[in-house]
Amino acid sequence: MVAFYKGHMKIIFIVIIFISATVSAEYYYENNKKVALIRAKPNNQSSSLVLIDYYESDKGNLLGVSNQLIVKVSVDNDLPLYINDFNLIVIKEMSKNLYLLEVTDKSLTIETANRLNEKQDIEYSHPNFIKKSMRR
Amino acid sequence: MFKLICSFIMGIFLLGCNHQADNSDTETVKQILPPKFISPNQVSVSENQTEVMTVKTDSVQKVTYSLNIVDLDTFIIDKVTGDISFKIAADFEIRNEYSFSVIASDTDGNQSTKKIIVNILDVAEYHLIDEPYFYQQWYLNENAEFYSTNAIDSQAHINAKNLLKQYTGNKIKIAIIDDGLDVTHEELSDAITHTYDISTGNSNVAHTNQRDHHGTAITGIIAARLNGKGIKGIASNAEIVFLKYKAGMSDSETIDLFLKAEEFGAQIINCSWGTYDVSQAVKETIQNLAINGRDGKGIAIVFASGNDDLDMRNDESAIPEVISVGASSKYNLRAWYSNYGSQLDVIAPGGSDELGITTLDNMGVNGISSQDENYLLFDDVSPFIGTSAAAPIVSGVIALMLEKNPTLTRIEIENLLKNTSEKIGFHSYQDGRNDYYGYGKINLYKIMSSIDDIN
Repeated sequence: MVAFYKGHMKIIFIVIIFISATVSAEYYYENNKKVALIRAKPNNQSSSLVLIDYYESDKGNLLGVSNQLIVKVSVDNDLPLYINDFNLIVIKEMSKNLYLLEVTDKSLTIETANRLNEKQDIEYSHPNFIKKSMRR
Repeated sequence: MFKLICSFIMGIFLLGCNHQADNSDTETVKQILPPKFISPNQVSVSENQTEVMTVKTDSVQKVTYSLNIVDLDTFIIDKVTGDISFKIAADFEIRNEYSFSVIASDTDGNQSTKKIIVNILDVAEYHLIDEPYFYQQWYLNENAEFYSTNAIDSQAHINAKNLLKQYTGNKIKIAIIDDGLDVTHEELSDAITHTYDISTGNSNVAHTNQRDHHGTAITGIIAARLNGKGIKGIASNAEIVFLKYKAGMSDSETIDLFLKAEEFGAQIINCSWGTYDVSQAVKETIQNLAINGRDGKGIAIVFASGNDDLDMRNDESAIPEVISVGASSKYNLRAWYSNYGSQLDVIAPGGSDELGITTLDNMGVNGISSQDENYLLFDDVSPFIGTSAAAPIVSGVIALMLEKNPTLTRIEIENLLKNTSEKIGFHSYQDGRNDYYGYGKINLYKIMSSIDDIN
């Protein structure tokens, strides 16, 4: 009976881990390759009150994600169309064809960056990651 | 009597006529007068500088300036502005007075010539031996006594020979992106030309706590002045642009800092930091500056490889267009902590716990030093060590290279560094490199000699 109980508990435990990993795992594009992100440092505060969400990349680096993203458009890009479609705000053009944009809610940042990255006339798009610069 | 009065009246009349005639002559002469110099006949300038003066005339016409042919060996003149400078900075100890003749020509072909005397003023000069801690700068040259006392390998330095007297990075602009700077440091007076803090958007880059001594230490290795105090920076006359970063920085802020460096005219950018995970937009910005900056010659961007004894992975220092620098120790071997990888370019002395790199600390109680409150000495309780120290050595060396030949491209600089490096260590080199030493340890004397070959 105990063995049967232990066996079921193990399966349930594995299923729980699998589901939680599946639900919380996200990704972003780097050089058009998917890089997995795992939500880190869950905050006790209501998510909408926190300005930055933290993730850990598959390389083990801590990445902060705000409601900003960076988009590099190709020459013939129709950025205004995407701005309208994705309800984006242009913060500034940082250099030629490289834009800093903002979404209305940081929960949309990664998804919006990924969808934009998949557009033919966008060279790349990724969240405006916040990273720790380490002195050496 | 009548005759006398008539003669008197006639005389006054004639005088008046003469006066009128004189006036009309003056009018005629004025039209053909050559440009008149309004500059002084004599100027005094300090030794060790090239600027002399700007000559001017009162002419309303366009004037072209030139020098007497015999003066062209010594002086240069801008024919439009009249700016005059020495070809080579004057040295009071060699000659304390010069003269030259400058010619001003207007569009009507009128010319005037003026002789100007230049007095050279003596300026207090310092020599390497005047720097109290120069003997501790083991990474530059061998000091037999210091090397023997501290059991340093005789080849552990970068072989500066006498080149630090001849080249000082004069007029070369180096941007340093780091955590904060003591702009009041006694070793940095007149070194800092531009500053910018990414957190505030203003020019105050002062450190916010004692731990933020890193930027001051880096700046000292590159640009500490030759002034009879502390140490000598490798490029002790270079101009420094200091850009203060913050520990948690967004990609767009990182991009802003690099674009600021370009905006301020940096020819070299030193980065003794990294994230291990450079974003695509940041990487592309750095690549673009390294390829297209400096009017197409490319900005030399130097990154420290890191101190974790790890592969550089996707670090900023692993960007191919970056000059990636690892560290060597007093044993003339790779320092145990120095990161490695396929994109490592060269190594330079970075020290270890046994023997640090003597450099600046924040002045007074604002620093962390345990011995001299303004300096971190080689044997301080918290010595300055790491690839952070090795990178500015390379940045300083590049400043000397650009002083010798300002037209060098970033690719030529990289090739010079790689092709002249010493193949030290126990790892074999294939095609001139390996992942632990890159192309080897830099050798300043060989680099500067090779620039002669290019010229």
